[in-house]
Amino acid sequence: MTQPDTIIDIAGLVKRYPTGRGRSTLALDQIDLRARDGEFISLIGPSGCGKTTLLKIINGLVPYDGGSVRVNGKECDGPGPDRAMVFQSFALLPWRTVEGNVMFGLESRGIPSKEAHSIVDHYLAMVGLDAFRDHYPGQLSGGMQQRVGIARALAVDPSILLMDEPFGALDAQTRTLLQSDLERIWSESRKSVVFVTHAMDEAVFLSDRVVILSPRPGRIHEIVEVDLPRPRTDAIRGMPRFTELTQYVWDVLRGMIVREPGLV
Amino acid sequence: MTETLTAAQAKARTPAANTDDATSPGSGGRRGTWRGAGARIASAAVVLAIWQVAGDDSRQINFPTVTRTLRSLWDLTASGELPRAVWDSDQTLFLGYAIGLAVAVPLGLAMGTSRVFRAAFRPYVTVMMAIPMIAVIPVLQAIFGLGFSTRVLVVVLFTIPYVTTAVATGTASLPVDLAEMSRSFSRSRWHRFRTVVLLHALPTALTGIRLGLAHALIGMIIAELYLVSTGIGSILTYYRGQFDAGAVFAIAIAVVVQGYLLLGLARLAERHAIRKVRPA
Repeated sequence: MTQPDTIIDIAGLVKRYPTGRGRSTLALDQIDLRARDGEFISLIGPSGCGKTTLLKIINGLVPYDGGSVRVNGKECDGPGPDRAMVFQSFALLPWRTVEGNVMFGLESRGIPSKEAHSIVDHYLAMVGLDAFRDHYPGQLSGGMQQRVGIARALAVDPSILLMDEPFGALDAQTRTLLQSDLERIWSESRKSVVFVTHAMDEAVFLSDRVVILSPRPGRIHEIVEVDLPRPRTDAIRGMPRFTELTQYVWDVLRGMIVREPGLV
Repeated sequence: MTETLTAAQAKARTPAANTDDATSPGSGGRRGTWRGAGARIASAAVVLAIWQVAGDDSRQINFPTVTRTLRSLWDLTASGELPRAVWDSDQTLFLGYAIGLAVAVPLGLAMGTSRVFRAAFRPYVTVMMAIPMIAVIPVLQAIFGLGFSTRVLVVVLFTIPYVTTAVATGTASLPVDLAEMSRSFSRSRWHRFRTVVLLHALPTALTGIRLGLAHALIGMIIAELYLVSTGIGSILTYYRGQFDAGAVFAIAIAVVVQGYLLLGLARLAERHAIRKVRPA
C-alpha cells in the first residue's frame, strides 16, 4: 500500500467551508498527494485554489471533511511535533527577542533549558542571525524576520516543514537571497518541505515537484517534476531548462486564469 | 494687572512648549520638560489668582477664596476629621475595586477566549455600561440596606463593565496568525494562554483596569452621597448643612487630589508592568 518512505499520504481529501444557512462551498475536492521523505514539494495555483487551506490541513490547524491525511503513518488530527509552519506574515511575537521567538516552540516540550539554548544557538547561526539574538522583531527587516520564522520552525526539529508563501511579503532581492538560503538549509537538514507559493520561478527553483492546483473547487491539475540538478545555485536561474519549466508552469496557470475571467 | 500679564505670557508660551515636546519626544529632553513644567505652574498660578479675586469671604455661604479654602483644608486635616473620613471612604473604594477586578478580569478573559462565554455575558456587561448606575442605587438600597456592603457593591458595579470590556477586547483581538502560530508550535493550552494570549491582551487590559479605577472613584463618591455614609459623604453633608462653603470646597479638593494621585500611581504601575513583561 504505502511505500516505506512516504511521509505525507493524502487520499481523497475533501474540505468544505460553511457559507451559512446549511450550505457549504467545496474548497478542496478529491486531493490525492503523496510526499516522499526529504522531498521538496511546492503547491501553486490561482488565488482561491485552496493551497493554503491544504497546507493548514496538513499542519492540523484546519479540520477536513472527507478522505484521509496521514503524516508519518498517523492520521492527522491536530498540530504535532513532526510538523512546523512558516507563516507569510512571519507571525513573530513582538514582545519577544529573536532568541525568545525561536525558543517558543521548545518551551512546551519539556526540553531542559540548557539544551534548548544550545538548539536555539545552532539554528540562529544557521539562518545567520546570531548577532541579532537580543533584537526585537520590530527592529528587523522583513527578510530577517522571516529568518527568525524559519529558525523557529527548524528548532523544534520537525520532519516536515510547512511554508505558507514565506517570501510573499518580501522584496524581490531579499526573496532571491532567501530562496538560495532555504535551498542550502534544506539540503543540510534533509527535511521534507511543502511550500505554498504563487511565484512560478520560486516553485521551480526550490522544488522536486511542483503541484499545480486548479480553483473552485481546489483540485490537483497537474504535477510537474523538476529535473534540475542539485544543489540549486543561482547559476540554475540562467539555465534554459529553468526558464522552460517556469514558462511551462506559467502556461498551465494562465490557461486556468483565462478560462475563469472572474479570477483576475 | 500683573496677573493678567502673566496670563497672556503663559498662554503665549504654552503652545510653544507643546510643540517642543511633540517634535522631540523624550530626547529633546530637559529643556522641553522644564518649559512644560513652567507653563503648568504659570497656568495654575493664573487659575488660583482668578479664583482668589472671584471669591467672597464676607459670608460663609459665598464662593470661598483660595485662602479660605486652604484654611478650611488645614483645619479639617489638623483636626483629623478629613483624614478619617477619607480613609473611611477609601475602604469602600479599595474593597469594591478589588472585588470588581476579581470578578471582571477572569470574566473578561473568559469572554475574550470563549464564544460561549461571550454570548452568555455580553448583554449584561452592555446593560451595565448603558444604564446610568445611579438609577439603580435605590434598588440596591431596597435590597441590601444602607450599610457598608451596599456602598462596596456600588463601587463593584461601577468597576466591572469597563474592566471586563477592556480585558475581553484585548484578549479577543489576538491576530489570527499569532493564534495559528501558537496552536501550531505550542503543545500546551496553558503555555499558549500565558505566553501569547495574556501578553497580547496586557496593554489593553491594563488601560481598562486603570479606567476601572476612575469609575470606581466615581462610584465611591456616588455611594457616599446617595447612601448613608460615614466617610466623605457624611462630612460633606454636614458642612453643607452648616453653609460652610470653605469646608465643602476643601473636602471636594481633597477628593479630587486623591483621585488624581491614585490614577497617576495606576498610570505609573501600568507603564512599569508593560515595560517589564512586554519590552517591545
